Amino acid sequence: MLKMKSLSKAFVTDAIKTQALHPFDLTIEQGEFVSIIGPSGSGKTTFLNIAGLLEEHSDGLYELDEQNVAQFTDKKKSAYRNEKIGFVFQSFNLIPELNLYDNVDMPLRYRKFNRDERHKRIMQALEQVGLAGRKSHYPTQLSGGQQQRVAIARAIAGTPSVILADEPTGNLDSKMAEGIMSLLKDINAAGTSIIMVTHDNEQAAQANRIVQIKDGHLSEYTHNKKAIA
Amino acid sequence: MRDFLPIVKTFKKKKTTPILLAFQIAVTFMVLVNAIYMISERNDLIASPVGVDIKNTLTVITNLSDEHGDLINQLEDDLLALKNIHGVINAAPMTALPLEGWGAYIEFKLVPDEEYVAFGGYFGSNEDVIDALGLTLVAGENFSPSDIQTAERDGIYKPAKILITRALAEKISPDNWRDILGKNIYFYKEPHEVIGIIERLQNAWSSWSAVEYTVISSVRESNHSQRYIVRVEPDQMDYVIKAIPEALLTHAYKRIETIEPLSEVKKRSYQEDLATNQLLTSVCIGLTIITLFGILGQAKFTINRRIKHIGTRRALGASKSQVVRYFMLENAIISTIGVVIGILTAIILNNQFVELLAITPVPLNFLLFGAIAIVLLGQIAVAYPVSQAAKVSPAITTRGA
Repeated sequence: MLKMKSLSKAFVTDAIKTQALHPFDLTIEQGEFVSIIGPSGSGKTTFLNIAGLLEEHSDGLYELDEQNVAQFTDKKKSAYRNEKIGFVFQSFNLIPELNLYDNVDMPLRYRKFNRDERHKRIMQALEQVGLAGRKSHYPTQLSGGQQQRVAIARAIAGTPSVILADEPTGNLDSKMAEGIMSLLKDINAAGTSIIMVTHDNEQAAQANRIVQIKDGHLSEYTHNKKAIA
Repeated sequence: MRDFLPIVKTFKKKKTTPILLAFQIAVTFMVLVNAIYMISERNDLIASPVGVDIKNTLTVITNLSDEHGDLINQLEDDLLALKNIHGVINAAPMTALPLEGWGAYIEFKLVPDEEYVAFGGYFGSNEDVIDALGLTLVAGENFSPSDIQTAERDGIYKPAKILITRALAEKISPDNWRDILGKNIYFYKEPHEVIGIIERLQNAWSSWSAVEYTVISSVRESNHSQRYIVRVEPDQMDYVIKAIPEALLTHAYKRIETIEPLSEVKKRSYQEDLATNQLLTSVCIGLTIITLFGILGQAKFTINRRIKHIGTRRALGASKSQVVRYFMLENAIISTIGVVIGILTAIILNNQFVELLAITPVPLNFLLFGAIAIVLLGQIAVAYPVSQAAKVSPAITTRGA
């Protein structure tokens, strides 16, 4: 589903080259739940941005659903991102001026779905996160945990291949965090791959695989937390 | 158009900024449309034909002296001298000049001692007047030399044959303007027989409502300050202007007050209108620039406020061009609301103004044209900030909280 080979990322500013990610190989199969851990500034976000087609890699190969994304134009890349990837952000990134229904509708409007199809998907997604009854409410009327549920509904409504979650519980208390984690696990159980960046080792341990990034180097951890590569 | 509904829903939640901008656009629209209409009306007035061969007609004002014999003889000498200049088609005396801003006006009656039927401007001249001004006779006939009378000033009080403009003929006999031919018009209680109708001749006051109602009487006057009109062959204007002093200044007492093309007289008469138009044009340009910057600033502000929102849209699948379309459409909607408010207000105010001040309302095609122009202006103004918005990286959604 996701294949990265000798992939690396370097930033060049004022003739100074910073190697954000050193060359690495990584393959994630459909249906896997992968945690990405590492200290601040280690390159987690850069990895997530590249995986999510938000940023371009400098070198190497990146295939998402067997498509080499390096050659994509902005238009093609945007459409592909819309179709294949669902995002869940740390600070939810809902549009405050739109109600829950319209927030979930937003990415669907960039697809060629008709109204009925969009409506079906929105209601299904909102039901899955338990907020269908509040579809006319605005984000500011919800708790943080509920807002993150809306963001998850928005991510799954387009039935993506993979959900990229960036510290999805970072802004939530532990009880709300638990709810979000179990929701993500349910979604994963239904077949959607999940790549989750997190600080929380306990949460990370709930994934099938853990990838650690340190100073731009990726290394895979087994469940007993022993490095294998 | 997929963004239309979400944009409208966003407005409902965040009203202030779009409402203020829409009002600014409405006010700009009304001021611009009215100002441009006023400019165009004035331009039409300035461009309206005088009725004479304006390119090839010039005027001379010179003195006639009581101490050097009969004024009429001096006038005849002057005319002969003018006609003898190479390139001159004809010359005639005039009591006043078209658009000069100085002259006599009269009330026309069909029956003496009754109410006047029209009012207009008066010129006295001789049988050469049609040729010397390049007028077009559309009915009846020109004066014959035997019709011409002579007066020292105040020829206006003499009964005489007259030519009138078609506009005046239509005013006096609206059913059939030719009916006035052969009839008498009275002014100062004296009868004046209409023997000819000329297509057009504006009288002395350009801004007067009766500027097209003109009478030429067959009474030539000799004045101490004597006006002549001279028509020249094409391209002979400069040559004739240079030749006139030599031709006229044959005695030591002779003076020339002015020699100038009639086009200069016309220009002078519209000087205020031209100045007002220039002022209005500057106001329009200024207002347009201010509005452009207003829209640009507002767009920049709302885009900066929504950087994260734009990043989110990009991350969730909006391409750069879709972001551009979103904000262009947003501005077009606000501008359209603005011009609709503007058009409705203009129509309501127009009706009030027409009733209260008897001014002409701004025609609908002006409003529509103005509306399209304002919406386009808005699109141009947002183009730059929107192009910046398109550059917002979707990666900002994951950087920082």
